[in-house]
Amino acid sequence: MTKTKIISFFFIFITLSSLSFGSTEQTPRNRNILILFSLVPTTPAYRVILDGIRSQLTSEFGYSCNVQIEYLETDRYPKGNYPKERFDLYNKKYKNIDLDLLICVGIDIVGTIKSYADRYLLDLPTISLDYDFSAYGFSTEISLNNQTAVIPLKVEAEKTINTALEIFPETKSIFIFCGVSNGDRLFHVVSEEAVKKIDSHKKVIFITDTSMMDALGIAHRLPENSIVIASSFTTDSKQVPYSNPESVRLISSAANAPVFSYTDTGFGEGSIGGYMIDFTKVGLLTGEIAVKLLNGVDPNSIKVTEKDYYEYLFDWRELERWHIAGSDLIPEESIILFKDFNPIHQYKWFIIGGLLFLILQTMLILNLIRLNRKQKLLTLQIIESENKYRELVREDRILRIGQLTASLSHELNQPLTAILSTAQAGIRFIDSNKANPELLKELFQHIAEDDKRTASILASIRGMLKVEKRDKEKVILNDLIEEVLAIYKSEAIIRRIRLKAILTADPVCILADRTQIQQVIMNLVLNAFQEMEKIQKKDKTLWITESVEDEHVTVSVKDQGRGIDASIKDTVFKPFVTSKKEGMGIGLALSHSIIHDHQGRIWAENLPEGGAEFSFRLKIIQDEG
Amino acid sequence: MKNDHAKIFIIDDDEAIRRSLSLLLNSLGYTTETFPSAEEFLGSVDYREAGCILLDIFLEGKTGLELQEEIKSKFENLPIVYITGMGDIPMSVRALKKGAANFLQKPIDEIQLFDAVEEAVSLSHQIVSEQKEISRIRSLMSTLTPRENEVLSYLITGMLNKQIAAKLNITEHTVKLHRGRITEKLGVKSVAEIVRMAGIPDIRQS
Repeated sequence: MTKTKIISFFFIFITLSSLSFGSTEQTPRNRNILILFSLVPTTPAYRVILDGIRSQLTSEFGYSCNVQIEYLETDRYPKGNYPKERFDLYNKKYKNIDLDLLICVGIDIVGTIKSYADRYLLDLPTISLDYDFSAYGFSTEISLNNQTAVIPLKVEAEKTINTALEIFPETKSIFIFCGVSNGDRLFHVVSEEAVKKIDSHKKVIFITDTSMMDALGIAHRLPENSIVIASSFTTDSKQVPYSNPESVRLISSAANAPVFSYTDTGFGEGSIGGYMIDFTKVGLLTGEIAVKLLNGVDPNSIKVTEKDYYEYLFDWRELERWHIAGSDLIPEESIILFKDFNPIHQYKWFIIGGLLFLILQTMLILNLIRLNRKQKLLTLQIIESENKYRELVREDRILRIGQLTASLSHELNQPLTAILSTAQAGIRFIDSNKANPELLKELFQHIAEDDKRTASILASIRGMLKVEKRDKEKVILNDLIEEVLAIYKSEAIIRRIRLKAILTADPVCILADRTQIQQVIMNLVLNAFQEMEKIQKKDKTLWITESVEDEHVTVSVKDQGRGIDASIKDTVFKPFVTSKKEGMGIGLALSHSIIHDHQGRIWAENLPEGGAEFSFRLKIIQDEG
Repeated sequence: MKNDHAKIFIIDDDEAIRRSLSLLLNSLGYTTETFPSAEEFLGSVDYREAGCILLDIFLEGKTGLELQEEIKSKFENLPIVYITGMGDIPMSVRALKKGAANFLQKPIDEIQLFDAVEEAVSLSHQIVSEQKEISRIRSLMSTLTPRENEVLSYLITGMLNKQIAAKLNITEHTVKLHRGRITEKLGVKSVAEIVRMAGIPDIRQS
């Protein structure tokens, strides 16, 4: 037992210790980076370079990077023992800091470091952002040691001048403003080299070794068709220091000609632009290389080309000032900054489009509102006319009921007269003692008979007068026709019209609303009556025929009138079309809608022998009873 | 009862009306005969005694009004009483203007019916007796010789015997003889009576 315990403890110990070793190795180490700038902290390029480096380092290592920054400010203190004194300080300051990387930025920074820095600084992996003037005959050192990744900054004076001349082809004179500091002189030489290669017809004047005041005076009175190159003016002849953006700002504000510059430090301060280093890109590139070096990539394997950080940069405001904004002469790949936020200009088409859209939409909405209003009006009119139509249908119905009532009273008068007379006869017989049971029985039988007849007339009329729409039921068409004929019998006699009906021998069944179909028959009969009223003729006859053909039955009402007037022949079934004085002209329209509702057909034709025939056709249903 | 001698002809296309009116009139003692149409009536009846016709103003085929003339010319002895439905007042007025005896509106009030029928029948009696008188006179007249007729025509103008004799170029005595024979044949006593008889229309045409 103890043996195994010991063995197991041993294994646990081994495991734990190996674990603890592993974890020690993986703890992230703080990286220390020193960035050395040659000029004052306010130098605009430095801020963007620093931002670029920081953003790259932070995204790769988080906050485990200590970035130390020093500014040599050689521009501010160019004389005496100043750089050495500074480096004495740095040498002491960073001796005990385990630096991983040195980034040095600025003109002749590598030379300065080499002159004053201690060994341990010199041996650090380095990224150098020094100016390479080798093309202009200066042998500047830009590589600190054999672990240096070089981003060779160049002054592309020639390209800037050429671009300026392309944009202003009328140029006769080129004024190049230079200061007197070491750096300024370098730019002077670069400019001199550059102008050697351009068209000899152009006059080139260097303004150098002057005080800033004199330089500005000259800039203010430049001849026509001049351009200005603000090369580098950090110190004037009176040894007054100016930072580059400040000098560019001063010169361009005084100048009566467009000002170009080589670096983007003066950019945005009055210079139109040129072929310039984009320091934002430089910063990001530097940061990227820094990450690689910290991750152990060999500095010598890193190659950077000019294209990675040079741009044609232009200031929109200046382009506007010299009326060349949007000109074809500006290189296509140019980046144009400080573009005025002129919404009308910039979003011209959007705005026009938007306005157009707004106008169209407004028109559309107005149109929709108009249509809506029209629709409402129409709906109202439809409702109104529908109400009117219904009103007229009702009136027409009342008229018809009136006519029907006249017929009805005639019909009822007959049996009522008979009943009255028979009863009175009975009374007389009794009074005169002539009454015997047989006679009285006969009289009562007559009375009962006549009363039944009254009842049946009333029953049929009740059906015809029903107003509400009823469900369709199986009805015998023959009966419907006969009932209507019974009602109109007296009317026909009064009008001296013979009513002739030819009905089918076998009853024909249809599925119908009996009241409605009777109304149609009544309408047609009444119509025929009225038509025949207009003519003078003896022996007027109205024919009603019922005929069966396959599965359909046709009922025709034939009159001997003058026929349908040609002017209303096509519209005879439309409402308010009438040739009559009485009535609304909706009888036929109503009939049409009723027959249509019964899936039937109604039509009218003039007969060759004169008169008109109105017919309707309905489907027969089989009589199962 | 005088009704016994009168016959009422009922012409109506409605069987119930014919039957009931017939019964009602029977109960009053009238003899009745019914016809569904005027054509049937005209075709089958030849009746010269007193009576009347109850005629429905609306008949299928020819209306009562159209038949009125025909009936009147054939049956002078039978006044027409029209039966009308309600609201046929214009028609009734036209019927009356054309010479109808009366008109009755359905449903018919019995008193009105009896009054109308009685009136028509009494008119009929009058017509019939007049007609009888006329035919009697006419038959008497037909017994006169041509000369007697000639003398009569002057007599009724009020001429004296002497004047007639001069006109006819005969003697006054001969005129007196003719006159005596005329009064004898016509069964009258005075010339005034002869004048009245001759005044009846159509009497002297024959």
